[in-house]
Amino acid sequence: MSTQAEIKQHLKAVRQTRQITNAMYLLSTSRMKMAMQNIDFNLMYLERLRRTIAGVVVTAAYNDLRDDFIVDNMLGTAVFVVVTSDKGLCGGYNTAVVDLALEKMKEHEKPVVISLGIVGDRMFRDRGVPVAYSWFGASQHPTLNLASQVTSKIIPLYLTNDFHQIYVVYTEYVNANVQVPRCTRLLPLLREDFSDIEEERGAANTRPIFEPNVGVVFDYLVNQYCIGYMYDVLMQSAASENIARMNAMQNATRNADEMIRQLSADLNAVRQQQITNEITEIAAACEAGGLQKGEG
Amino acid sequence: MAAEFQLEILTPEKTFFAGTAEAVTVSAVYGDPREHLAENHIEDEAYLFREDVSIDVESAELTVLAHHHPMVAALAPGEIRIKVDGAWKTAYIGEGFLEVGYDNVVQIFSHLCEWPDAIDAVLAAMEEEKEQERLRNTESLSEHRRSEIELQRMLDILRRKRGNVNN
Repeated sequence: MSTQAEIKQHLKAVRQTRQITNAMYLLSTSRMKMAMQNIDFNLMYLERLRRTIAGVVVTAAYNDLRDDFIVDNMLGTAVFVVVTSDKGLCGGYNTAVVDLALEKMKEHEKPVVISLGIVGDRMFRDRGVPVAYSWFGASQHPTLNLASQVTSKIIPLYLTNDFHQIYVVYTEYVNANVQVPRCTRLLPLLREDFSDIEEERGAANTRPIFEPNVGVVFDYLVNQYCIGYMYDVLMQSAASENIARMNAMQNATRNADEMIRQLSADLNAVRQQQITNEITEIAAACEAGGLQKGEG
Repeated sequence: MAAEFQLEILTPEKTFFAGTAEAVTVSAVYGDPREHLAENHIEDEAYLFREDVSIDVESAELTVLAHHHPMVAALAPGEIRIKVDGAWKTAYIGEGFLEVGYDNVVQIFSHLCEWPDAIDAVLAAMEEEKEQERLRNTESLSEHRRSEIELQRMLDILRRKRGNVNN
């Protein structure tokens, strides 16, 4: 059995750890709320953008869209943009995303990885997957500005070289209890992506004017769409990350509470044992010295 | 009373403007930026989208009134003027586009749109954010490296201790 001092030392350490995990729990709660502020509005914005793009796709004559952004079938190397966290201590959040990315990458020849987040970058390197470009600090605090910076990096990549497919792997925030890792295609857009909207639009046959021409308009549309999309991805990931951390820290705090209870009980037992021992010793000493109770 | 139409200006973060307007003036992209590439013998199309390159996009003022024919126009960054109840209001807008719908509705989408009194604060905040971002990147990286070294050191100590026990 450990000595009192040892148990006290242990107890102190556990109490300090509990303080930290509890503080991190509260912190990630507020961070999650911050990250979620704009999700709904941005989704509505994206949906509107998608409608406009669909309108252009449907009404523009087939050959007018000489654009690289919309194709009929996909060719070329795939790029995977993987969004993970910059810090650990968030349960299986990062592993789930990276595992999904690795699984999807098997379907492509020589895929290229772009990592948003330090942890993902490390995990890929540990698994022997080269990371073409790494972006640190992006997933901690998602902002619109950041989303447009990331976009201005990805679109040139898409247009140059042979990277003609861009996938985003991130964690989708479904609700407070459910977050699922998802792999979605950012670019290119396929005609069939808009088939659901096409039917609604069928009635309005008036051909809109494009200023200055369809190609330029489409470039601008896609750029805005990608910014909105990346913003959404960053926000959903940040919200999911903080929920994962919240749960991990809540469990840690609970475990610490359990340990503290156990250790306190141990400490009491040891102290009791010691007192009993001392009493026994004193009693024994008295007996040996012939001093009997009542004889005085 | 001039004819009115529904105007909506949206950014990913907020509805900047929603209501009836009599006219809206924007600077629309004029000419094809890709021709700029051809003129300067740049074959790389990605050039247009790079953040570090700014191409002077030719722009022209475009005013939309009520019952305009359906149109989609690309917008250059610049001023946007909205006429509400006979008075013009001026704001600033980033790159984006304008869509005139089939039902007398005009929508403008951009990642940035602010009133003049807020634009300076917003731009300053963006600059600051960039700076902080840079700092955070270097900080979190060095922090990361430091903790990695620390971890290796601890593992080393553990290994040595274990070695002693086994010997």
